[in-house]
Amino acid sequence: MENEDLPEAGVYKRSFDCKTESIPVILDFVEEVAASGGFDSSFSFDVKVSVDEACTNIIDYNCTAGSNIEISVETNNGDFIVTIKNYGEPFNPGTVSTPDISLPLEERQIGGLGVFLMNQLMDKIDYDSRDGLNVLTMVKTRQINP
Amino acid sequence: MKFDAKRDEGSTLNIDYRKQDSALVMALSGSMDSSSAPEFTKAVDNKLAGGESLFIVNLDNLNHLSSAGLRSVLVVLKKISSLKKNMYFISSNEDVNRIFKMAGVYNTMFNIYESEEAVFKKIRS
Repeated sequence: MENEDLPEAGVYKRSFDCKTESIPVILDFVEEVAASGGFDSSFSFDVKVSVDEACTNIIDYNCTAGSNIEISVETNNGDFIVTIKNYGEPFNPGTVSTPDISLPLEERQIGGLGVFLMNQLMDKIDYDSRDGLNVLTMVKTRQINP
Repeated sequence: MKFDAKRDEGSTLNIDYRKQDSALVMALSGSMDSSSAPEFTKAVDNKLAGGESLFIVNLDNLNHLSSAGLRSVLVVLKKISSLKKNMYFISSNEDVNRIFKMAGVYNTMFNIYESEEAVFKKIRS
């Protein structure tokens, strides 16, 4: 990828088929935006895990057949903002109970661990659903080393 | 930014196999996401069917691990233990270890060794 035509801040939008095979393509997209914005690999790792969890939940439980997931990624100073939109059943990650991490993984609530990781890895998560359109916004802020 | 959604149809998870002493060393690289995690489970099943009983799984070169990946690791471990086989995990990968720690599995549900040498030392002891 060429770097010279990249703005320092910007919004990148892509649409993906709502299916599991899209996950690696979505993660590549997020990684490229993060790299072009100068975010380090650990930052990018954390954001990719969160995006994977959010999209996997949508794909597994909330997709309207044949629909798309629209993802926009915005880098603004040190903020990395991911907005995920899809049409389907409302799904509010805030309503998923916190998993008991002392339980064996296979006994925990499905989806609970993913949402737990998202909450740990991102600084802010907002969810809104209106007329069948679900909008999930996640923000992670780059830590500036003193 | 020019982003081309081109990607080979193949898996995003690569597994390299190497035999050392009686152990099968599986070096994982790439991504353990929800689309590729089941392949790890499948790969171990195949090797179990082929008669392997001592596995060393190196996660140093994983660049992505989601809850689906964690779950496949746990499913594999459960099977290994029910069959009375052995599997050791290696990760000096800080990103991967951070996820293990958050999920509460790091050195609690299974041990994670820092290097292959550390595992072989443990096996021989």
